[in-house]
Amino acid sequence: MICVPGKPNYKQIKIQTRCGNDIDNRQVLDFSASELNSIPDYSKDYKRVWFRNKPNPIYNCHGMTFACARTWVGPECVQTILDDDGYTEIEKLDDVLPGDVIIYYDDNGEILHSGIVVSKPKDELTRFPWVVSKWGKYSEAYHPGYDVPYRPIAKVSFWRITK
Amino acid sequence: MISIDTEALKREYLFANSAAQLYRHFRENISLQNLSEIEKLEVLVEEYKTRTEKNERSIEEVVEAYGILLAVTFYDYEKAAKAFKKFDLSRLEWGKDLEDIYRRQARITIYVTEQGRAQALREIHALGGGAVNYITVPGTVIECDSEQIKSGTSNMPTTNE
Repeated sequence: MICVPGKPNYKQIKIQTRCGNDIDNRQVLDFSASELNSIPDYSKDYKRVWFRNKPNPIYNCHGMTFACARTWVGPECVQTILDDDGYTEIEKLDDVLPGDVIIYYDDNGEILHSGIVVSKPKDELTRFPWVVSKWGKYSEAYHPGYDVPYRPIAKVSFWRITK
Repeated sequence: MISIDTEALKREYLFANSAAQLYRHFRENISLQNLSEIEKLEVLVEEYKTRTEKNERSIEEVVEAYGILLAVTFYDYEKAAKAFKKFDLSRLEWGKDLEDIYRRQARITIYVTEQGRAQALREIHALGGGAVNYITVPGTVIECDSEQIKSGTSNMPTTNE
Protein backbone atom coordinates (compact mmCIF):
# COMPACT_ATOMS: atom_id res chain seq x y z
CA MET A 1 0.00 0.00 0.00
CA ILE A 2 1.32 3.44 -0.90
CA CYS A 3 0.48 6.19 1.59
CA VAL A 4 0.26 9.62 0.04
CA PRO A 5 0.24 12.49 2.55
CA GLY A 6 -3.02 14.41 2.45
CA LYS A 7 -4.86 11.72 0.52
CA PRO A 8 -7.12 9.10 2.08
CA ASN A 9 -5.35 5.79 2.57
CA TYR A 10 -7.29 2.68 1.65
CA LYS A 11 -6.71 -1.01 1.91
CA GLN A 12 -8.93 -3.77 0.60
CA ILE A 13 -9.08 -7.19 2.19
CA LYS A 14 -10.27 -10.46 0.73
CA ILE A 15 -13.89 -11.13 1.64
CA GLN A 16 -16.10 -13.61 -0.12
CA THR A 17 -19.64 -14.80 0.32
CA ARG A 18 -20.39 -18.44 0.99
CA CYS A 19 -20.74 -18.91 -2.79
CA GLY A 20 -17.30 -17.46 -3.45
CA ASN A 21 -18.37 -14.07 -4.76
CA ASP A 22 -15.89 -11.33 -3.88
CA ILE A 23 -17.25 -8.54 -1.70
CA ASP A 24 -15.95 -5.12 -2.62
CA ASN A 25 -14.69 -3.39 0.51
CA ARG A 26 -12.48 -0.60 1.69
CA GLN A 27 -10.58 -0.02 4.89
CA VAL A 28 -10.09 3.65 5.53
CA LEU A 29 -7.05 3.70 7.73
CA ASP A 30 -8.04 5.69 10.74
CA PHE A 31 -8.54 9.37 11.30
CA SER A 32 -5.52 11.61 11.43
CA ALA A 33 -4.54 12.92 14.86
CA SER A 34 -6.15 16.26 14.15
CA GLU A 35 -9.32 14.59 12.90
CA LEU A 36 -9.62 12.46 16.03
CA ASN A 37 -9.31 15.53 18.23
CA SER A 38 -12.21 17.26 16.60
CA ILE A 39 -14.83 14.49 16.67
CA PRO A 40 -17.71 15.57 18.89
CA ASP A 41 -19.26 13.44 21.60
CA TYR A 42 -22.85 12.83 20.48
CA SER A 43 -23.86 10.66 23.44
CA LYS A 44 -25.81 13.51 25.07
CA ASP A 45 -27.94 13.88 21.95
CA TYR A 46 -29.14 10.28 22.00
CA LYS A 47 -30.58 9.54 25.42
CA ARG A 48 -31.52 5.94 24.68
CA VAL A 49 -28.30 5.04 22.89
CA TRP A 50 -25.07 3.67 24.33
CA PHE A 51 -21.97 4.12 22.20
CA ARG A 52 -19.82 1.04 22.71
CA ASN A 53 -16.46 2.25 21.43
CA LYS A 54 -14.53 5.21 20.10
CA PRO A 55 -15.18 6.51 16.59
CA ASN A 56 -13.53 4.22 14.08
CA PRO A 57 -13.65 4.77 10.31
CA ILE A 58 -12.25 1.36 9.34
CA TYR A 59 -15.66 -0.28 9.19
CA ASN A 60 -19.26 0.80 8.68
CA CYS A 61 -22.60 -0.78 9.61
CA HIS A 62 -22.55 -3.37 6.83
CA GLY A 63 -18.91 -4.14 7.62
CA MET A 64 -19.90 -4.76 11.23
CA THR A 65 -22.98 -6.80 10.36
CA PHE A 66 -21.52 -8.94 7.59
CA ALA A 67 -17.71 -8.71 7.76
CA CYS A 68 -16.86 -9.01 11.46
CA ALA A 69 -16.13 -5.27 11.80
CA ARG A 70 -13.03 -5.60 9.66
CA THR A 71 -13.76 -3.26 6.78
CA TRP A 72 -16.18 -0.90 5.05
CA VAL A 73 -18.80 -2.67 2.90
CA GLY A 74 -21.04 -0.70 0.55
CA PRO A 75 -24.84 -1.05 0.59
CA GLU A 76 -24.73 -2.36 -2.98
CA CYS A 77 -23.12 -5.58 -1.67
CA VAL A 78 -25.70 -6.36 0.99
CA GLN A 79 -28.28 -8.15 -1.15
CA THR A 80 -25.57 -10.37 -2.66
CA ILE A 81 -24.49 -11.36 0.84
CA LEU A 82 -28.06 -12.07 1.93
CA ASP A 83 -28.67 -14.21 -1.16
CA ASP A 84 -25.37 -16.07 -1.17
CA ASP A 85 -25.14 -16.71 2.56
CA GLY A 86 -28.53 -18.34 2.94
CA TYR A 87 -30.44 -15.60 4.72
CA THR A 88 -34.22 -15.73 4.84
CA GLU A 89 -36.44 -12.79 5.69
CA ILE A 90 -38.40 -13.14 8.92
CA GLU A 91 -42.00 -12.29 8.25
CA LYS A 92 -43.33 -11.64 11.75
CA LEU A 93 -41.77 -9.22 14.20
CA ASP A 94 -42.64 -11.56 17.05
CA ASP A 95 -40.40 -14.23 15.52
CA VAL A 96 -37.31 -12.02 15.58
CA LEU A 97 -34.51 -13.28 17.84
CA PRO A 98 -31.14 -12.00 19.05
CA GLY A 99 -28.55 -12.61 16.35
CA ASP A 100 -30.89 -11.74 13.49
CA VAL A 101 -29.90 -9.01 11.07
CA ILE A 102 -31.95 -5.83 10.68
CA ILE A 103 -31.87 -3.90 7.40
CA TYR A 104 -33.23 -0.36 7.03
CA TYR A 105 -34.48 0.90 3.65
CA ASP A 106 -35.27 4.38 2.40
CA ASP A 107 -38.26 5.48 0.34
CA ASN A 108 -36.54 4.37 -2.87
CA GLY A 109 -35.92 0.88 -1.52
CA GLU A 110 -32.21 1.63 -1.14
CA ILE A 111 -30.44 0.10 1.84
CA LEU A 112 -29.65 2.78 4.41
CA HIS A 113 -28.31 0.88 7.37
CA SER A 114 -27.93 -2.53 8.98
CA GLY A 115 -27.29 -3.97 12.41
CA ILE A 116 -27.54 -7.02 14.61
CA VAL A 117 -30.54 -7.67 16.81
CA VAL A 118 -29.58 -8.19 20.46
CA SER A 119 -32.96 -8.64 22.13
CA LYS A 120 -36.37 -10.03 21.37
CA PRO A 121 -38.88 -7.34 20.42
CA LYS A 122 -39.79 -5.85 23.78
CA ASP A 123 -40.40 -2.15 23.45
CA GLU A 124 -43.96 -1.78 24.70
CA LEU A 125 -44.81 1.02 22.34
CA THR A 126 -43.20 -0.09 19.11
CA ARG A 127 -42.59 -3.80 19.71
CA PHE A 128 -39.11 -3.22 18.29
CA PRO A 129 -36.00 -5.15 19.35
CA TRP A 130 -32.78 -3.57 20.54
CA VAL A 131 -29.93 -3.52 18.08
CA VAL A 132 -26.17 -3.07 17.91
CA SER A 133 -25.09 -1.23 14.79
CA LYS A 134 -22.21 0.89 13.56
CA TRP A 135 -23.05 4.50 12.77
CA GLY A 136 -20.90 5.38 9.77
CA LYS A 137 -17.41 6.47 10.77
CA TYR A 138 -18.61 7.05 14.30
CA SER A 139 -19.06 4.36 16.97
CA GLU A 140 -20.92 1.12 17.47
CA ALA A 141 -24.23 1.90 19.12
CA TYR A 142 -26.52 -0.16 21.33
CA HIS A 143 -29.94 1.29 20.63
CA PRO A 144 -33.67 0.68 20.23
CA GLY A 145 -34.15 -0.60 16.70
CA TYR A 146 -36.09 2.47 15.64
CA ASP A 147 -33.63 4.95 17.13
CA VAL A 148 -31.10 5.57 14.38
CA PRO A 149 -29.92 8.79 12.74
CA TYR A 150 -30.83 7.64 9.25
CA ARG A 151 -33.72 8.97 7.24
CA PRO A 152 -36.10 8.60 5.63
CA ILE A 153 -36.65 5.06 6.88
CA ALA A 154 -39.52 3.65 4.86
CA LYS A 155 -39.11 0.00 5.80
CA VAL A 156 -37.11 -2.39 7.95
CA SER A 157 -36.65 -6.10 7.45
CA PHE A 158 -35.18 -8.86 9.59
CA TRP A 159 -33.03 -11.70 8.29
CA ARG A 160 -31.61 -14.98 9.60
CA ILE A 161 -29.40 -17.65 8.07
CA THR A 162 -31.68 -20.62 7.58
CA LYS A 163 -30.12 -22.53 4.71
CA MET B 1 -14.85 33.53 4.05
CA ILE B 2 -17.71 31.24 3.09
CA SER B 3 -20.53 30.35 5.45
CA ILE B 4 -21.33 26.65 5.98
CA ASP B 5 -23.29 24.96 8.74
CA THR B 6 -20.28 22.85 9.67
CA GLU B 7 -21.65 21.38 12.90
CA ALA B 8 -24.77 19.94 11.28
CA LEU B 9 -22.80 18.64 8.33
CA LYS B 10 -20.19 17.10 10.60
CA ARG B 11 -22.82 14.85 12.11
CA GLU B 12 -24.08 13.84 8.66
CA TYR B 13 -20.52 13.09 7.59
CA LEU B 14 -19.64 10.99 10.62
CA PHE B 15 -22.87 8.98 10.53
CA ALA B 16 -22.98 8.45 6.75
CA ASN B 17 -22.68 4.81 5.74
CA SER B 18 -22.11 5.54 2.08
CA ALA B 19 -21.28 8.34 -0.33
CA ALA B 20 -24.91 8.26 -1.50
CA GLN B 21 -26.11 9.03 2.02
CA LEU B 22 -23.66 11.86 2.35
CA TYR B 23 -24.79 13.25 -1.00
CA ARG B 24 -28.46 13.11 -0.10
CA HIS B 25 -28.20 14.68 3.33
CA PHE B 26 -25.69 17.35 2.39
CA ARG B 27 -27.94 18.42 -0.46
CA GLU B 28 -30.73 18.93 2.06
CA ASN B 29 -28.60 21.39 4.02
CA ILE B 30 -29.81 24.94 3.54
CA SER B 31 -26.39 26.50 4.09
CA LEU B 32 -25.05 24.70 1.02
CA GLN B 33 -28.01 25.77 -1.08
CA ASN B 34 -27.41 29.34 0.09
CA LEU B 35 -23.72 29.05 -0.66
CA SER B 36 -24.48 28.23 -4.27
CA GLU B 37 -26.65 31.34 -4.53
CA ILE B 38 -24.13 33.69 -2.93
CA GLU B 39 -20.72 32.56 -4.11
CA LYS B 40 -19.11 32.35 -7.50
CA LEU B 41 -17.83 28.96 -8.56
CA GLU B 42 -14.27 30.24 -8.76
CA VAL B 43 -14.44 31.17 -5.08
CA LEU B 44 -15.63 27.68 -4.17
CA VAL B 45 -12.84 26.07 -6.16
CA GLU B 46 -10.30 28.12 -4.22
CA GLU B 47 -11.97 27.44 -0.87
CA TYR B 48 -11.93 23.71 -1.62
CA LYS B 49 -8.25 23.86 -2.45
CA THR B 50 -7.49 25.69 0.79
CA ARG B 51 -9.22 22.98 2.83
CA THR B 52 -7.80 19.96 1.06
CA GLU B 53 -4.22 20.84 0.17
CA LYS B 54 -2.87 20.26 3.67
CA ASN B 55 -1.65 16.81 4.65
CA GLU B 56 -3.19 17.03 8.13
CA ARG B 57 -6.78 18.20 8.10
CA SER B 58 -9.37 18.64 10.78
CA ILE B 59 -12.80 17.04 10.51
CA GLU B 60 -14.19 20.54 9.97
CA GLU B 61 -11.98 21.09 6.95
CA VAL B 62 -12.94 17.71 5.48
CA VAL B 63 -16.65 18.37 6.08
CA GLU B 64 -16.45 21.84 4.55
CA ALA B 65 -14.62 20.47 1.52
CA TYR B 66 -17.44 17.98 1.00
CA GLY B 67 -19.92 20.78 1.55
CA ILE B 68 -18.29 22.85 -1.18
CA LEU B 69 -18.54 19.94 -3.61
CA LEU B 70 -22.21 19.53 -2.82
CA ALA B 71 -22.85 23.27 -3.13
CA VAL B 72 -21.51 23.05 -6.67
CA THR B 73 -24.25 20.57 -7.55
CA PHE B 74 -26.82 23.36 -7.18
CA TYR B 75 -25.34 25.34 -10.06
CA ASP B 76 -26.39 24.96 -13.66
CA TYR B 77 -25.29 21.54 -14.87
CA GLU B 78 -22.83 22.70 -17.47
CA LYS B 79 -21.09 25.11 -15.09
CA ALA B 80 -21.00 22.50 -12.33
CA ALA B 81 -19.63 19.80 -14.60
CA LYS B 82 -16.82 22.13 -15.68
CA ALA B 83 -16.12 23.13 -12.08
CA PHE B 84 -15.80 19.50 -10.99
CA LYS B 85 -12.84 19.15 -13.33
CA LYS B 86 -11.02 21.84 -11.35
CA PHE B 87 -11.28 19.99 -8.03
CA ASP B 88 -8.67 17.44 -6.99
CA LEU B 89 -11.27 14.89 -5.94
CA SER B 90 -8.64 12.36 -4.89
CA ARG B 91 -8.03 14.46 -1.77
CA LEU B 92 -11.31 13.21 -0.31
CA GLU B 93 -12.36 9.62 0.29
CA TRP B 94 -15.71 10.09 -1.44
CA GLY B 95 -14.78 12.92 -3.79
CA LYS B 96 -15.00 10.90 -6.99
CA ASP B 97 -18.04 8.99 -5.73
CA LEU B 98 -19.93 12.25 -5.22
CA GLU B 99 -19.09 13.45 -8.71
CA ASP B 100 -20.29 10.11 -10.11
CA ILE B 101 -23.55 10.36 -8.18
CA TYR B 102 -24.05 13.91 -9.39
CA ARG B 103 -23.51 12.98 -13.01
CA ARG B 104 -25.83 10.01 -12.70
CA GLN B 105 -28.58 12.05 -11.10
CA ALA B 106 -28.17 14.81 -13.62
CA ARG B 107 -29.19 12.45 -16.36
CA ILE B 108 -32.36 13.75 -17.82
CA THR B 109 -35.33 11.57 -18.46
CA ILE B 110 -37.78 13.08 -20.85
CA TYR B 111 -40.98 11.95 -22.36
CA VAL B 112 -41.26 13.75 -25.63
CA THR B 113 -44.51 14.61 -27.25
CA GLU B 114 -45.25 14.44 -30.95
CA GLN B 115 -43.47 17.78 -31.38
CA GLY B 116 -40.37 15.67 -31.01
CA ARG B 117 -36.77 16.49 -30.40
CA ALA B 118 -36.79 20.22 -31.12
CA GLN B 119 -39.50 20.82 -28.56
CA ALA B 120 -37.67 18.68 -26.03
CA LEU B 121 -34.44 20.57 -26.50
CA ARG B 122 -36.18 23.90 -26.03
CA GLU B 123 -37.74 22.68 -22.84
CA ILE B 124 -34.49 21.27 -21.48
CA HIS B 125 -32.70 24.55 -22.04
CA ALA B 126 -35.59 26.47 -20.55
CA LEU B 127 -35.25 24.35 -17.44
CA GLY B 128 -31.55 25.10 -17.25
CA GLY B 129 -30.36 21.50 -17.50
CA GLY B 130 -29.08 19.78 -14.39
CA ALA B 131 -31.05 17.29 -12.37
CA VAL B 132 -34.24 17.45 -14.32
CA ASN B 133 -36.98 14.92 -14.45
CA TYR B 134 -39.35 16.31 -17.01
CA ILE B 135 -42.37 14.44 -18.18
CA THR B 136 -44.86 15.13 -20.91
CA VAL B 137 -47.02 12.18 -21.74
CA PRO B 138 -47.88 10.38 -23.89
CA GLY B 139 -44.76 10.08 -25.93
CA THR B 140 -41.31 8.69 -26.25
CA VAL B 141 -38.79 8.15 -23.49
CA ILE B 142 -35.50 9.89 -23.97
CA GLU B 143 -32.59 9.55 -21.62
CA CYS B 144 -29.48 11.60 -22.07
CA ASP B 145 -27.47 14.23 -20.24
CA SER B 146 -26.92 17.88 -21.00
CA GLU B 147 -23.55 17.32 -22.63
CA GLN B 148 -25.02 14.79 -25.02
CA ILE B 149 -27.88 17.12 -25.84
CA LYS B 150 -25.54 20.01 -26.49
CA SER B 151 -23.25 17.95 -28.68
CA GLY B 152 -26.12 16.21 -30.40
CA THR B 153 -24.70 12.79 -29.61
CA SER B 154 -27.63 11.50 -27.62
CA ASN B 155 -29.50 8.55 -29.00
CA MET B 156 -32.93 10.11 -29.05
CA PRO B 157 -35.28 8.42 -28.71
CA THR B 158 -33.98 5.44 -26.78
CA THR B 159 -37.17 3.66 -25.87
CA ASN B 160 -40.82 3.88 -26.60
CA GLU B 161 -43.39 4.10 -23.91
